[in-house]
Amino acid sequence: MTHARWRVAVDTGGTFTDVVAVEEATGKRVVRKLASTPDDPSAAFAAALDALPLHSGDVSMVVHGTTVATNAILEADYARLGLIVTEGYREMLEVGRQTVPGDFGDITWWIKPPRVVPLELVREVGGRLDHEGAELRALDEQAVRRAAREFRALGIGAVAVSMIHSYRNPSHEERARELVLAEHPDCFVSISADVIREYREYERTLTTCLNTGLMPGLSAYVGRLEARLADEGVQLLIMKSSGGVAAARELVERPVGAVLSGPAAGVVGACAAASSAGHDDVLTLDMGGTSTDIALVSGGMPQLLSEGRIDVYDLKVPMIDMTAVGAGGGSIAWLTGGNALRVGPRSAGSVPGPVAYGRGGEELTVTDANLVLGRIGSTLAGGVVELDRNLALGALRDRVAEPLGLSVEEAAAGVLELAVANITGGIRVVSVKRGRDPRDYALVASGGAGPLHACLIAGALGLETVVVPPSPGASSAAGLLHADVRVDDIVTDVQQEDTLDTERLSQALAKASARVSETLEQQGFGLGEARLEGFLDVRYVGQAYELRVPIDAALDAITEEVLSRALDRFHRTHEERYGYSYRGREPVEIVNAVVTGLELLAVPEPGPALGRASTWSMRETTQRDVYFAGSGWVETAVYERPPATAGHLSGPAIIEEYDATTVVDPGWTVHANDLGQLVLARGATTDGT
Amino acid sequence: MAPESDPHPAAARIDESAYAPPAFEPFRTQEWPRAGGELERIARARERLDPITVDVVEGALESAIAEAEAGVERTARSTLIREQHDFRASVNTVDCQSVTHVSFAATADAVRAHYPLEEIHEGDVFLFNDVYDSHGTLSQLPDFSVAVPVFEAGRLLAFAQIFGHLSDVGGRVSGSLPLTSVSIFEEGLQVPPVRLYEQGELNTAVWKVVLRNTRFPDEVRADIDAFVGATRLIERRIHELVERLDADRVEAAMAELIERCARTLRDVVLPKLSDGEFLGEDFADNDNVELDHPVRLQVMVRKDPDKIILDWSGTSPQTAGPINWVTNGRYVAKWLGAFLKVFDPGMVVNEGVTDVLRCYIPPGTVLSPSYPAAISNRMPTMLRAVSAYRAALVRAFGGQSVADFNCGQLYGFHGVVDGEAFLFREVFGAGSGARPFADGTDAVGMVPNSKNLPAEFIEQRFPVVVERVGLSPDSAGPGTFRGGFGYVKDLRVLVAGSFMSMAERTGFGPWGIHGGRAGQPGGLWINPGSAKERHVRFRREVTPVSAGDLVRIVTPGGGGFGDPLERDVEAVRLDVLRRLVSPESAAEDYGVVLREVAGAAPDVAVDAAATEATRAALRGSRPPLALIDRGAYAQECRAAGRIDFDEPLLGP
Repeated sequence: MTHARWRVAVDTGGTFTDVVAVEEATGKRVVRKLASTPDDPSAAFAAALDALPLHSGDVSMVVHGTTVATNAILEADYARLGLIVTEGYREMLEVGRQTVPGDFGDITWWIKPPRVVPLELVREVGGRLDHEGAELRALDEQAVRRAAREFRALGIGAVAVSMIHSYRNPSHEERARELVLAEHPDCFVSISADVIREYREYERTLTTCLNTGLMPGLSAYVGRLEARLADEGVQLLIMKSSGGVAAARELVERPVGAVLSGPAAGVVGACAAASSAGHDDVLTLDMGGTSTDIALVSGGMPQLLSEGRIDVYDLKVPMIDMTAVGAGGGSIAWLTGGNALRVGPRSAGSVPGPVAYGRGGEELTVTDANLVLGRIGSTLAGGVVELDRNLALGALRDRVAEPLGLSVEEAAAGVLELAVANITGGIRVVSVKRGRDPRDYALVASGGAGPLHACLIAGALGLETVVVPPSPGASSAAGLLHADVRVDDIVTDVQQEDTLDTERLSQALAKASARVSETLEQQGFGLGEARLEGFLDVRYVGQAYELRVPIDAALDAITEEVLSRALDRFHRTHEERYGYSYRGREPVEIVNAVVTGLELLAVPEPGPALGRASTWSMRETTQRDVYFAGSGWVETAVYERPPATAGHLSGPAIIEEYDATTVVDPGWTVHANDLGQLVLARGATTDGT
Repeated sequence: MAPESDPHPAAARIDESAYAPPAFEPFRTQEWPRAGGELERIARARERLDPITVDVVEGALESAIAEAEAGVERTARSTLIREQHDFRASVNTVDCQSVTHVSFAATADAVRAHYPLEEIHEGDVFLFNDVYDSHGTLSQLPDFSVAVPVFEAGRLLAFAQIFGHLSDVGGRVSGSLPLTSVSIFEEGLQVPPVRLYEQGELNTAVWKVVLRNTRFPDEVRADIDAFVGATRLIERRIHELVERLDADRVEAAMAELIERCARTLRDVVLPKLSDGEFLGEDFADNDNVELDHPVRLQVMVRKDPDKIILDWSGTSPQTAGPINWVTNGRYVAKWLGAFLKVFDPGMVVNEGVTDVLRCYIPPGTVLSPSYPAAISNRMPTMLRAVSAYRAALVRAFGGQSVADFNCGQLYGFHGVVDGEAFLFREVFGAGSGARPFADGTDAVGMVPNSKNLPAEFIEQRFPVVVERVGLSPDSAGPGTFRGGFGYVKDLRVLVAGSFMSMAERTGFGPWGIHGGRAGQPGGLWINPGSAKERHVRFRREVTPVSAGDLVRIVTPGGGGFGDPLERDVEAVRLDVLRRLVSPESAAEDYGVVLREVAGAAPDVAVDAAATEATRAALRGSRPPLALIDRGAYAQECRAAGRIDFDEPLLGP
């Protein structure tokens, strides 16, 4: 077909739905921003496609980042479901891990969040496996049927099944699923061995329950998206938390894999932007209104974790190693009773919003502090939001400056410093905490508030370079276009180093590989080149947590040498991360064989930037007074962001665009590269100081 | 304008001099001298400190200890450390004052007590578990502490410290927690502060002694290595902070953080509490040696406008058995101070609390035993000290407080499989106490971040099958808000061995308040419901079990809050539907009459008329409601003349 082919990415966020279309042959781009439709996000999805100047048949592929799964969890808006467990474990969700979050004494006032499945909807069934997967007692099939009939009679349309040691032997769970479907054919069923094949029954069960609860909603949602695309005849891919995409159908079975769909796209996008600018080692910072997502990327690839926390739930699903900090433009600054200044984690959101919005917000926010200091202008989002500096000034004076005996400038700068401290704390979590020095990384700043604070954050950590991609507010949508199809599988088989059977390890890897290949095949992309990568989860004998290390050879050729290289990497990583290793002194054990299948999607070459060529022409600037800690008030030039190549500028400078403001601090320079990115550098100024 | 009257006449202030030695232990056991002109420089830096810098230092130190604790958790071997979070990190000043939030963190006092300043060098790593020399911060021998002095250009400016619960440090029994010891010499190795590293060089002699004195040398070495790695990480963070701010400002900020805690308590928290005297009392089941003798913890909480005094007179003398807690007023104040945070969320409780919460203990009690009293099972005393203190708060708040709980008990099973010794131990939570606004929490641990052990982990490591993990029905103390339910855990043991029961509240139940009733005590049962059933009520060092035996561990339910007859009827119905409360208890304790509803799935409905009648009848026939209900065992002990306690009624 000679027809022009476009790849389309749609990212649905809380406030905006962004769509980016790229012409595969030329790299030509079209970007649109629409209001999201939280009641039915598929409406904004459809509207976003309609807003593109494309015709039916122009589109080759649609990639989607969604917050549907996240929001369903955050708002507990998932299906009522039943749970079938091993006899003796009825109260598993009630007991959990017996953990009180927080500090000593908090047990007196902490209230446990509601359970995903209320106890009256949990059923126990006889049947038991041991830790090697051998059957101790046969499955009580009548009890499974009885439970399924009860759920059907109660109108429950989703059932989770989780049994002890199913990660070693899923046969009881698989049989239970058959029986449930026989009694209750229209039911959504999810078994724990399909969701996570790892030990620790509570986490596996909880994740399976959330997965099951999300299935009916995700199924309906994907159905609506596919209906919209039916005419186009194109494949719909959805971003997973792991930063890879998968056929929408896979997400119907495993919706819990998409809980960080949107943020993951943001990291992938930031990675891609940085790579194209020649930076493979970056810290990505996506700072919005309520929170900031932070990830550390080495060698151009985001790190993957096997678990993470969403709201109050610890979920065992692969997700990009990122951390969210409750610091955004809307974060509230407050004083404790003892006059200690705190910023966040509460946020004023968009309603009522910062004090300066004049929509009834009374609590001082980070945005208000920025406004008072002249760092942002009197309007946001191209004039959609008007800001009232006097309101912000009053709140700052009453709530922080006077109680602390500071000037308003000092107080506002203090609010920013603490917000920045929260963020640098988050950056530490993903960098120094893992033995990485943040100064070795460039900062990629996106989100509406990222470029505004980037110099402050970089300054606090000693970073030298900041990259601000074009349309920083739409970086997640851009990221969707850079993802590969990805399938992960894990086989738990604990083996100690001294008695290790390479043959058995090869079999575990083969098993995982076969399942990965099968899934890729079922999804039937044939869109790109498929590649399998293997990893081992390794620990010292006696430890409870593993480190994941890559296997640097073909998975069907595991030799002693390949293995010893992987274990060598384990010792090195342990030393780097925790300050010591037991190389040559203590045996390790391999806990999991992990296989990742990637089908690499060819990324369109970045095309020539659109629009007019421009320079940092003084004709386009205005001036305003901006307060910089250390320099005080400085008359500062304000530029409109040029869309293309231009020369260098020295800070202080303010660069404004539709969805973000970039502040270039004194002592920094900035230039726009030929990809339309702003690159900020510390030190070398144009006048040579 | 002059005030109409002084709200706090001088006469209302408590005369603290009444608490001088020798009638009481000194409140601060040691103050350290400081050399040179540094103090003046720090004082000058403090005058110029802005509040933001203080916050930045606070954030950096708190995140350093969080980072260190995360590292220990991921690399340690002992299940008590890595799963159950029985360890803590802290940052101390040169004078060994806690700068970071305390919980139950140790301090470097023992190091300063043994070494003059000039003998402490950069690169030294001190190791110790010496209970009687650690100023009340380490209180059992398996708790080993690692302390690293932090230097900047040759000047000591802080200590980084981590302590944690090792698997075994020798002594008479596996796990080093004998229950019937009568001297610390039975309990394991005692290590005064020694240098594991001397100016960066490993001191192998120390390793050899420590590792020769444990049954599990691999685990112990790995855990201490994890402490050292993480403590040095804190040291690095402090160095980074000094690089940015300079040493004087960092030390000035640390002093300011301590002062800020005291100021906050005085200005914000104290005004929320009424002045007066409030008695708190409680009882540990016994000292493990004389089983019929409950051990009394008593505190008089005396409050005036600028301090709270905790006077522990009336507490039982030190015991022969090992429930003595070697502590001191300063540590107890820091520990109980954590419960004051609720009055000012966001504040950090550190050493500054000791300026406001003054804690006085007479010599020779279970809180101030003399060397070499046995101490290996001090947990019941720690928990009951908290209960006694909280019982006083119940009075201070006229019952609008939180009911009692015992959310930490240790059970263990040890033996030999294929010639290799194994030791399976788990700290169990229990039901927490009801609050004036909510039920207590079910099966929850008191130690922050403590996690129970997954069955799938236990069965991989130890010769047991976990047959049941759930909630103990009818264990929660009834009330308008009931307590949380305790655990029930059934273990099928696959080999013969010994069970250890280190549980408290197996006699006394956790008390209920404001008309709410006590929760049920816990206990250990072997082969329950069979002809071979054995019930182990109190702590017991050795309970032999045979292969195939079923061992049931039950932990106590939390106390209830408020009149059970006022409990929401639907809440009672749900508890019965969920099989957590029996229909009998619903009728007898709550006056709620239910009937089964036929249908596709089990269901129950409220018989409204019968409920109303039952509640009316119960109201007419019962004794007056108590402010604190201590349950059946307490009444039994009092009737037998073994204990006495004050029993105020709930006011009308």
